[in-house]
Amino acid sequence: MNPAQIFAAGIAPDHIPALLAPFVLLAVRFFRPRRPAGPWPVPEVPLPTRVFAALMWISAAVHMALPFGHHDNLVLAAAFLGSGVAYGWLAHRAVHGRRYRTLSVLLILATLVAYPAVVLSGAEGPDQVGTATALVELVALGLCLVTGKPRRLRKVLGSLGLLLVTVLAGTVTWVGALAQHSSDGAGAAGVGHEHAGHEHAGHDHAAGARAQAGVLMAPHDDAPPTPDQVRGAIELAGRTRAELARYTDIHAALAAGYRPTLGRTGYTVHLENKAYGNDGRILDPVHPEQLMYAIADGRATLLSAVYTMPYAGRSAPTPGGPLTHWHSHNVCLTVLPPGFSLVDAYGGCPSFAVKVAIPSMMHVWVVDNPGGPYVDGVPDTWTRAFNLTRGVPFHW
Amino acid sequence: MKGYPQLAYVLVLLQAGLTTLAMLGEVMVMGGNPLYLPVPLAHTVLLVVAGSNIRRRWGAITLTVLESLSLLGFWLSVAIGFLPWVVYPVNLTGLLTDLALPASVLFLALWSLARRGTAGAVA
Repeated sequence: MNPAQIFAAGIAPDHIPALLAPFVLLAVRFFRPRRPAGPWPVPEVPLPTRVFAALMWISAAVHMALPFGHHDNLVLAAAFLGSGVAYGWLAHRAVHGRRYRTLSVLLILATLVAYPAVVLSGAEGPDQVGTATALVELVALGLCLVTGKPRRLRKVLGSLGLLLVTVLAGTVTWVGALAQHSSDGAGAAGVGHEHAGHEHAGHDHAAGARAQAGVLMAPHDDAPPTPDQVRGAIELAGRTRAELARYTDIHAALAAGYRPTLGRTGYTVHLENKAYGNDGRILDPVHPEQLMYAIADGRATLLSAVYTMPYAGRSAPTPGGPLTHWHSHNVCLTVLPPGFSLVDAYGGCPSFAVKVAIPSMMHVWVVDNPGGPYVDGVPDTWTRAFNLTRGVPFHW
Repeated sequence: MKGYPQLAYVLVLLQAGLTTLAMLGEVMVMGGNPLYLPVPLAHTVLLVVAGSNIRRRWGAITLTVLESLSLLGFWLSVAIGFLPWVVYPVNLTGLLTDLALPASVLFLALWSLARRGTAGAVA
């Protein structure tokens, strides 16, 4: 995925009106006819109050535009409209010198709780518009909690409150996104069956990935795979399973030059063979760039090949059409001390880090998991049970 | 710009929260290694202390340095993204937290310094 594709992939299609709404609001604000000044002096509105009102108007515009994408759910649409009106009303009160803080705190907290709750329930995936709106609301919340008045205790409590809400909301969104991504495909059919792990029960495959919190994924093609694509997917899965049989025992993989990329234990331990990463071959079951093992409880189980593109930003072959979907990771590389992390739910990295997206990769599973050979991940509970019964005894 | 210290402080608090979350994520990814705690924690404390003292010269200068480093990191990431092995993962939240937020605080810090300079010149 190139940067433009990454940016577009983070926006849920039904949130596009909400993304455009603040710009429409800005245009209306810019082009509206100015009222002539009255004979009375207008009191100056302090900068924090003006910024608060602007942020609340942005949130109001986003909420009021959301029903355009959620018109199939009347309750949700009504809730969005109601909260949009409330945000606008409180912004209006703020600039007109009326009390607004208590109600604003309650409204913003309710919104910040409702959003992750919807995400965790799986009813909606977190996307960039939702998270960006949460950031806007966090600043507005901070301007309510931390006032300019010199009350030390209130300032300390307000500061701690904002820090806590920021970290909690981000953690829940992050966990929800990663959970949705890892459960993508769980319960779907395998290759060769109806839809072949492509889509299931109205669930959006790329939902968890739209948060772009460590995982990047292009939107999936909703078209059903053609017979040729199904054949291509079956062939790649079959060849991968046959060729990787020699690495069932992890000692064989280590002898062939595969080494851990990061963690040495867990249910998604990646072993990389650097020689295969630079050999120019793509989707070659004889020379897979990486292998993924479960290494835990004194056992190791080969789970999948991880085919990797040599360069980032290049389109990857999809012999199975929509069945064979690639993903990438946006990661943070820190220098103090040297380390590695995933980009968090707010698109951030630890201090003094650079943020990059690595080349695309695709898992082709060689064990019979609940999601089929092209699933992006399976629950750890399944992997643990599988590893305990099928794993080869192994200790580092 | 009446009330700019309050705005700067709130923005800095948000940055501190974002840094804390990212720090916790890195510590988890790096297997719970506590070596990844001191630098982000020091960064967070420095941000909050400087943000609450933006009216003072040292507070504004500290914020200017920290936010300039943040912006430098953003542009460095963009530049590294031109290498063939990686790309810069541009998205909406990243632009807000990596670019808009540090730029806003930097503007307020520089404005504070300029205001002090003007006040000093008048005096």
